[in-house]
Amino acid sequence: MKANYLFPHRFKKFGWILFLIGLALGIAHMGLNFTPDFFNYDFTAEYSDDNLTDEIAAAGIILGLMLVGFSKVKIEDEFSLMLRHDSLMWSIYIYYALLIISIVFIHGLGFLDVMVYSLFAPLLIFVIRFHFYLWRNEKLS
Amino acid sequence: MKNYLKVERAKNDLTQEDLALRIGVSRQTINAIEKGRFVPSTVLALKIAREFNVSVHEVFELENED
Repeated sequence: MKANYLFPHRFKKFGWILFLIGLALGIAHMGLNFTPDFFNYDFTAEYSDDNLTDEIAAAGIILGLMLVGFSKVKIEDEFSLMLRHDSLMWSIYIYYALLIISIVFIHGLGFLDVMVYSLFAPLLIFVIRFHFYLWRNEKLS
Repeated sequence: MKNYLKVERAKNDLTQEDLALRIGVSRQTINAIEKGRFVPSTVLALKIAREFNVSVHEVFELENED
């Protein structure tokens, strides 16, 4: 069998934890302006923002989703690999369709929000689609 | 593509789970093949045929639209 560039199955749980921590931190930061002193970092004077909350949240969400989507499932075989590849292609289609709609209809500062969500959307759509496929196949069999 | 996986399993008195374990795939994969939702690779088709001691043609068959 050729290499499939996937992480071991045990990384998946770790990915969910990272994702949930990142998501909670991100929501707290964007919604409640949560910036604990714990995450302060003394940057050089040219940076006005010297808190790492949003950076840690974003990295956690991305790394978490990568590990969730690209760790082997319990019994990894050619069928699960096909479902993963299908989901990946599907997520790119959906992502760019949504992005085009956003480009056309959202202008000015509001587009900044679109750009923030764009950072995570392809991975998130992929993970949701892949797990939906897995769940449906579990149900069907 | 048509397949006689279910028939061959019955002849050999194997459950989907048994067959899945023997050839190293998940039970969902065997089910998806039987129901025609998934066409296995050549390697997997050969492994399945070997498990039943038959040639691959006796388990999988091309249809007109293939």
